[in-house]
Amino acid sequence: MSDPTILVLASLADGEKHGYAIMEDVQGFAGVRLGPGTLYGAITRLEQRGWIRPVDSDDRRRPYRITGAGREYLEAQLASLNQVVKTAMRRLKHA
Amino acid sequence: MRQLIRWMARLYPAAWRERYAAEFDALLEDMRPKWRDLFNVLLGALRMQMATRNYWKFVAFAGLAGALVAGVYALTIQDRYMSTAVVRFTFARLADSDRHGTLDRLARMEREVLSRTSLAALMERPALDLYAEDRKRIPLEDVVENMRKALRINLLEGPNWRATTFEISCMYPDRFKARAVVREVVAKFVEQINTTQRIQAPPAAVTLQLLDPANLPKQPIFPNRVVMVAVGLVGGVVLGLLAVLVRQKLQKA
Repeated sequence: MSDPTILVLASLADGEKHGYAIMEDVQGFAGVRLGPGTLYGAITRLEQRGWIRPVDSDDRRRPYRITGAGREYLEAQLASLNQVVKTAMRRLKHA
Repeated sequence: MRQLIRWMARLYPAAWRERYAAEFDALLEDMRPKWRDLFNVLLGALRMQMATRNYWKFVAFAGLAGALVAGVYALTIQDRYMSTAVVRFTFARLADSDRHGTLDRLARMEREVLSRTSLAALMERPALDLYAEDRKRIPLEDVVENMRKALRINLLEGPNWRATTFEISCMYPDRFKARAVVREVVAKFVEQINTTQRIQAPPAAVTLQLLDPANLPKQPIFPNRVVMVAVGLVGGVVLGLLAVLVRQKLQKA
C-alpha cells in the first residue's frame, strides 16, 4: 500500500493534522516516507476532489480534515483492499 | 538543502504557490530534508505544471530536471587524470628484411609490459599502491584488466620503421600516480630492450629516446561535467516533449 492519496486519507481518519504531522503519522503506521512533493501533490488532489478541507488556522502549519465524501471514498477503497487481502490469504492457506 | 528545496518549490505553478507556499515552507522547516526530497519536489512541480497544462513550462522544467540529475550524477563520478609520454625506438644496423622481426620483437615487449605479472607487480608496489580498494573487493584478474584499459600504448605510425614512436598514457584518479605509472612503463621498456639485446641475435643497436617525458596533468580528462549537464538538459527537454505529446494523444483518445 503506497498510494499517497489513501495514506493521507487514512492519516486524517482519526482527526485533523497538518502536513508534517501527516508525514510522521504515515511513516509510523505504514512505514512509507512521503516526500514533500508527493505529500502536497496528494493534498492538492484531495482538496480539489473535496475529500479533505483545510481547517482555519492562524498558524502557517495549516491542518486538514477529512470530509464526509473523503471518508466514503476511503471506506470504499479499504473494503476493496480488504477483499483482495482476504482472497489472497485464503489462497495462500490452500496452496 | 532546505534552501535548495525552497528554490525548487518556485517551479510550482503560481496559483499553487499562492495557495500552498506558506504551509509548504512550514513543512520544510519542520522536517529534515534529504537529497531525494529535492528530486521529489522537482517531480511534484513538474506534475503540477503538467496538470495545469502549462506545457511549455513543463518542458522547460523537464530540461532543468534533466540538467540537475546529470549534474548531481557528474559530481558523484571520480575525476581521472591522464599522463602521457612519447618514446621513440631507433634500430640501427638493420636490413629491410629485419623489419617484420623487429616489429614482432616490439610487440612482444609491449605484451610483456602489459602482462598480468608485470601489471600486478606495478600496482602492488608500496610507493604506487594502485587500485587498493578494487584489489580488496574484486579478483586480481579483473583489476589487471581495468588497469590495461587505463593504460594505453599506441604506436604512432611513421614512414621509417627503424624509428618507431609510441605514445604511452595512463588514466588514474591520482594525477601523481598517473605520471608515476607512465614513468614506470617507460622504465620497463628500457629494461626489456636491455634484456632483449643481451639474449637475442642479431644484436641490433636499439636506443630509446624520450621525446616527451610523462607530464603531470593539471586538469582531469574525465568526466566532462559541462557536456554531461548539457546532455541531461537536452534529454530532459526531449522527454518533456514526449510526455506532453503522449498526454495530448491520450486526451484526444
